[in-house]
Amino acid sequence: MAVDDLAFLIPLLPALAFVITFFFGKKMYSGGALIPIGAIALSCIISVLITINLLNNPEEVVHQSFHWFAILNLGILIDPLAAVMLCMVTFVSLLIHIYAVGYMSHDPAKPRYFAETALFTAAMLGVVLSDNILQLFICWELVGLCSFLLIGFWFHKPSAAAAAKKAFLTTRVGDVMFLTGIIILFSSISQIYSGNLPEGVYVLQFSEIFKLIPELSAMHTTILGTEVNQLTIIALLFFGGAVGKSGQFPLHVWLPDAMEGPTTVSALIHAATMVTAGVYLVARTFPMFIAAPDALIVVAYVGGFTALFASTMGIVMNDIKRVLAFSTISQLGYMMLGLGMGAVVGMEAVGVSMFHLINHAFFKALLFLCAGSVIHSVGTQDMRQMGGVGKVMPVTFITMVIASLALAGFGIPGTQIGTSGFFSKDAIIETTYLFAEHTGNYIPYLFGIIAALLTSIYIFRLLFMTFTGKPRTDYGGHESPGTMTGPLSILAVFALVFGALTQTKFYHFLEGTFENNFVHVNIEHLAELGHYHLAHGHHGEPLLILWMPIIVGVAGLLISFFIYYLRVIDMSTIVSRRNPVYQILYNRYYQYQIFIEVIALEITYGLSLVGEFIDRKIIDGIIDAISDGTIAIGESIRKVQTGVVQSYATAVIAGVGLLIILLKLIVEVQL
Amino acid sequence: MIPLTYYLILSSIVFTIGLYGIMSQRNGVRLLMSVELMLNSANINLVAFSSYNDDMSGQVFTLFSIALAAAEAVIGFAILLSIFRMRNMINIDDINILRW
Amino acid sequence: MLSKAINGVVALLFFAVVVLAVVGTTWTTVDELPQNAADQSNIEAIGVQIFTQFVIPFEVLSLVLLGALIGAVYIAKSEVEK
Repeated sequence: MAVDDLAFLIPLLPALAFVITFFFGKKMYSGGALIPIGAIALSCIISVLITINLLNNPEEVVHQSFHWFAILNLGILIDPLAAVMLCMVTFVSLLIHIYAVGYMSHDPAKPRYFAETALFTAAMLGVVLSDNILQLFICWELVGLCSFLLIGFWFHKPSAAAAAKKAFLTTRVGDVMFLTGIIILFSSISQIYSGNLPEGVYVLQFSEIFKLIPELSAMHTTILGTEVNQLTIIALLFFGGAVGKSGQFPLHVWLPDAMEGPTTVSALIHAATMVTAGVYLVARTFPMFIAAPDALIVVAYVGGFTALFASTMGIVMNDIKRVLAFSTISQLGYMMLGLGMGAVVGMEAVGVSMFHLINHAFFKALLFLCAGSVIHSVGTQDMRQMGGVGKVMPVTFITMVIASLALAGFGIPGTQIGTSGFFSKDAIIETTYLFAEHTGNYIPYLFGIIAALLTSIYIFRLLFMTFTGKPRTDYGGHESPGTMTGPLSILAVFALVFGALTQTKFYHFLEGTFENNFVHVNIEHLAELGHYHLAHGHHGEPLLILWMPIIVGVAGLLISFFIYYLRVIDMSTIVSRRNPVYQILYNRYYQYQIFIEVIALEITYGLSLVGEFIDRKIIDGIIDAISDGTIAIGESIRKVQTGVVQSYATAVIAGVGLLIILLKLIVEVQL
Repeated sequence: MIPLTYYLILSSIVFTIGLYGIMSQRNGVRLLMSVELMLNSANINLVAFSSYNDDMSGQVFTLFSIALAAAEAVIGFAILLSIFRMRNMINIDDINILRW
Repeated sequence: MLSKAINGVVALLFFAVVVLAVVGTTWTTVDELPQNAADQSNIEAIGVQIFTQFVIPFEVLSLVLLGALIGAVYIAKSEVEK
């Protein structure tokens, strides 16, 4: 039996592990952790084997599908795009599960933890494997649910409960947009078929959707007097879903708060896997985006702005996990930026962006796990109370340095030497430069390069504040156990060499995503529909541009080194309440105030008051009238119920008599 | 020969009288008497059908039924007697401590 | 008075229905009564049936009557005697 036939087991095994661990985990070793670990390990092995098959045979994607109902199906699709995601998700999830055995060892609710992470992994694999948009949406929601459960894992902490609620509601905004997009897509498709959807064709399957792109892009809708391309609306609504899930501006507010969950959850969900679902969605529906005018430009601007915006806030945070959270938002912005560059480089944008996604998953999971290791040992998340941790936790320190170098993108341009972050991030920045050259629009490039400088500053600030110098408080740390340092080391190896080993192969592999036996779309042709002019043959960037990312990276390192290690500048003058810039950054651009006080209190509350008036006076009035009437009728009829059996008997006999007469009459009429 | 229908009409007259008593009377003893009337109208039916179908078991059953009616009446009157001892009346409308 | 009138009407209604049903039905009966002109008494036949075919119900009935008797005595017994 070919391993391809086992593809359906990939999401099913973790789902099964969820059930077993959830109900029977209490009596097993370490809260039943071994069952999800085993299941995910098996999934990982299957994924890797399928990916190897696919590498040899990129035209033969795995596709299994069976009928669900009407014109919908449930199916599994493993094309190159899904395959790399699969391997990444299962692998990172596996390492984090192993790490969690150590990290969660003191927590009494371990079965719940492992069950929920297993369910989360299953849901995420479901997102990746879906061959139609509806199934993807279902798993997408399941991912959101798991995120809610895991952020609120310590639900007895009010802040965790609030964070879970916030995350759920914020992503819900995006999810509603996504669902609206699916609904509009479906109705547009049924319009194309003039209401007669063909039998036996699953119209929401990606292959069918992509086939209809030319027809979809010919449709227009008028919104507020302007004519808008139907496909652009759908694509932007999908992107709205991605914005919610991937924490892009302005729906990023939930991600920093989501750090209330256990650190392993942060690493699993808010760094490596769940937040990448949004990027994956855009990559998965990339043919729709590239055929939709202006859609990719919006993606690029939102992504670029998020990358810059989040990194400025990362600089001033004192909570180690929050720095990493903003870093995640910023890096996700890079991925979106990379996808948006599809406006110029076409299919290569998916390759670049997904490459960064995979590399980011490795080094960001590593960063989070290192932070978790530090928190586990020191017992605080505030960097101001740390310092000198590197001496007591050497393994954590070394892996953290590797991860930081990868995040800042250190490497030597023009060679195959560099951390994995270097290859992917520089590739994105290079494509933005290409975009700038091609269109004369330098804004995305500036977003990218300034964000790179800030990234370097904040990550080395974190490193210096936490690991070097003298302990600022008496925390008495110790190195973490082997189940925690083991995954750290493995991830560190990946963060270091994965990029260098796979770069060219990776791009080439992903180019087969939309040209195989399942879907066949001509990206060039679609780009014409979207009025994008693709550039061809672009290997003449000036040397300065090639070196620019690494220059700003080193600059950031030096800035941090002087300020936070040598302390040549007294930070207390800058970090004060009187410095307005610091205030703005530390208060996260007053987003909270804006969201709460302006949007929530003024607008939403005002609307709520109107709604309340309508609800109380009009709707409640109707309801009250109905209920009062019912009560009044009941009161009067109640007197019939005398409780005297004799009157009941009279009523029964009268009823029976009348019934018989009635029956007799009817029967005679019929005869 | 008297037709069977006459017996049945007689039985229904007796039953209707009993029914009317059940519906209208409030005195416990009268109620029990009405119940007896209804029961015995059924007995009339039994005997009538029994003899008109040449089957003895109907008449045997009537005997049983009369005996059971006696048992029922004994219990009923005993209850009424006990109530009368306690409350000095047997108007069933006022015996409502088990209602609601 | 009103309730008695209603009761009367209902009783008459019931009576009408039953009588109509009785009259409107064709009953299957034997042609001639009595069947056996020589032996007009049915007492003997009833006695034979009770003590042969229905002997067990008869005995059970005696127990029921006994139970009813004891119950009635117990219920109706004057509490003052205690």
